[in-house]
Amino acid sequence: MLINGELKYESQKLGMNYFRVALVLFGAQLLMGLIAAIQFLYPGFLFEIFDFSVSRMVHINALVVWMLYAMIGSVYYMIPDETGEETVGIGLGKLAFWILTAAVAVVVLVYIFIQVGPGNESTIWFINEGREYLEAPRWADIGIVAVVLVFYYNVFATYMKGRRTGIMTVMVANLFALAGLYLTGMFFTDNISVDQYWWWWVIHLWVEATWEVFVGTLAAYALVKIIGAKREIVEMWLWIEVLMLFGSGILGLGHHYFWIGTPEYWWEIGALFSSLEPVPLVAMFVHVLYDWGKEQGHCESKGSAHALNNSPAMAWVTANAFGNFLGAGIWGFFHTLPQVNIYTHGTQFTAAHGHLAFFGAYATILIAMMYIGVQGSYGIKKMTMTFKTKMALTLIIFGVLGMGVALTIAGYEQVLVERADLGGGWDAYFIAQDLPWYIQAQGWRLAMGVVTFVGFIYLAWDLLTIGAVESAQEESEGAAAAAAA
Amino acid sequence: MESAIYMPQIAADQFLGIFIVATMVLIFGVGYAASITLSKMGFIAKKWQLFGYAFWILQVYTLYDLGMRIHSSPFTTKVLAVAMLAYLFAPHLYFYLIDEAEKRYETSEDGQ
Ligand code: HEM
Ligand code: HEM
Ligand SMILES: [Fe+2]
Repeated sequence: MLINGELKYESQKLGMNYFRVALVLFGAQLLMGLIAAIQFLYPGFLFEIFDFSVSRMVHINALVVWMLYAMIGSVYYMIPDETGEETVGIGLGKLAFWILTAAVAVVVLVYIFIQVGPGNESTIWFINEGREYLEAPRWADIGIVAVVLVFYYNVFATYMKGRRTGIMTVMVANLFALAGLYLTGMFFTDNISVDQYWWWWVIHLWVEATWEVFVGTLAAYALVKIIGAKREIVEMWLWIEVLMLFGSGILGLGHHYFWIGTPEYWWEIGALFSSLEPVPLVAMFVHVLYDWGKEQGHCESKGSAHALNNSPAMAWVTANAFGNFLGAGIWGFFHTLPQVNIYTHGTQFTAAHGHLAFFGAYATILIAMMYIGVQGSYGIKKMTMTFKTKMALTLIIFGVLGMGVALTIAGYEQVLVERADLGGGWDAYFIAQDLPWYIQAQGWRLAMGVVTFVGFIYLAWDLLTIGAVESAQEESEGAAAAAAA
Repeated sequence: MESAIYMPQIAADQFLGIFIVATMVLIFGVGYAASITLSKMGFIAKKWQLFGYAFWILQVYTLYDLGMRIHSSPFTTKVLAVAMLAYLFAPHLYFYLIDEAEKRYETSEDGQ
């Protein structure tokens, strides 16, 4: 990730810059998570120095921002491949990158240093806008909109100018919805039900509709790129996935409208549509395996052993296919029916789902895109896994799964004690958190968080070094082959 | 709580059962899709498709069981039944479409 000399297009170099910042923010996210996890066990830890409210907020805001960075990076990276053109407004795009990154740095500093005190109209503008995951103050919100407009213009104009593939068509249409949804989380209302109603438009319609379609698009691109899957087939799957994802995901929104003061018809709507949401995730899973198996079969029948030209990326794409189904599909389906959600709502069960889903559905495929970027940056024809790649894969996946299981146990204890036994009041909330099942589970979560973090160090280290290692190896192999011939 | 909405409460000791059955619905669903896919891919022999249908039947049963456990409303039950029928046909529709696409692809030019 350090250099990108082999890239022919400025757009792809810009994409690599987005990946670099994304990786840094990913690391920051995990550090904040570790602090928050320690605070669950020792509430006095850094009290009034670095409060839980701050560490938790930075943890999840950094999460959203690094993912958006990696998403923008992926788009800039794939534009020239797909359209055959350099991004139209590349100069503007670079400027926007630096403005955005400076703004993010300022916002993070404000998050960390200035968060305590009374809230009023001016704090909304300068300190914190107060919507979980999207807490950036309003000046930054407006800046983000401006930067995203530049980005969208670049994508759209390049698309209109160049080749219009199916993958790019879905991308352009979907990005429009994705960016537009951000606007629904930008205005102030003093009615908490109204506020939550619109806030979920951003959160839910992002992660369960537009971001999922984005993932489908990336997977399609990656399959064409890594295993040489047939474009026509891949694109057909993509359209089917889009149909199913939007068909279930949009009205699945109702599963957040059970208890926030919204009308009761949402119970039926939310239950019905959201329980269909895992179906496209199964389809995406089957799709990746099917295409891979098929190309592998083609290669074997032709006598060439391996269909992959980038096995680290393919490993993460596979992790994505499976993790999406597990974290979003299974853990989501668990608590999506109102009869169940009335018990699990807002417990650690939700946190278990949040971790498994965000990781399984998004972190994985964005990491895969970073590996694709590294491969291009160093002009590597066939990239294989290093020891570090394997350590990163194993430790991160094991760590996140471990956190998921621990949080599920904590959530189950809350369901039984806090909700069912004690009726879910204020006292019940604290009593349940003092019992051994809960505390031990939080302990395990911290331990697994450390495992995840060690895995992340391997990941960052690998991304920084694998390009040089693999290209040197390829060169020496090439030299050896030339000498032999 | 005074309205006529159909929302029975569930006892806490039924919870684990609901979780497990809900998982089984999905696992069997993947099992069905996977067996059909793997046999279409030629990884496993055609006869294993029969196991796929066995998975589908198990999925129907576990979904029915889940519906009972959570006391779903008669309307929801009907919708779920229709969804299961659709799921039975879905993989076959995919592969039909893929075969058709492949044919067109093969007859058009070679390579990218
Ligand atoms: C990749 C996709 C997904 C991601 C990233 C994701 C993430 C999340 C997160 C972070 C929350 C907690 C929000 C909060 O802070 O209050 C949440 C809540 C929820 N999710 Fe998902 N989710 C995904 C897919 C799904 C799917 C497919 C389903 C259902 C089939 C689902 C069902 C739910 C439900 C019911 C809640 C509300 C939990 C509560 O009442 O506390 N999610 N999701
Ligand atoms: C070093 C590893 C990690 C640790 C120790 C950690 C810890 C935490 C803690 C303590 C919270 C607050 C939970 C609460 O308020 O109940 C949290 C929330 C959250 N974390 Fe992590 N985390 C880690 C990694 C991750 C990763 C890799 C992701 C996703 C890619 C992630 C996504 C989230 C989300 C979405 C929430 C909000 C969940 C909700 O409100 O339901 N975290 N994390
Ligand atoms: Fe949702």
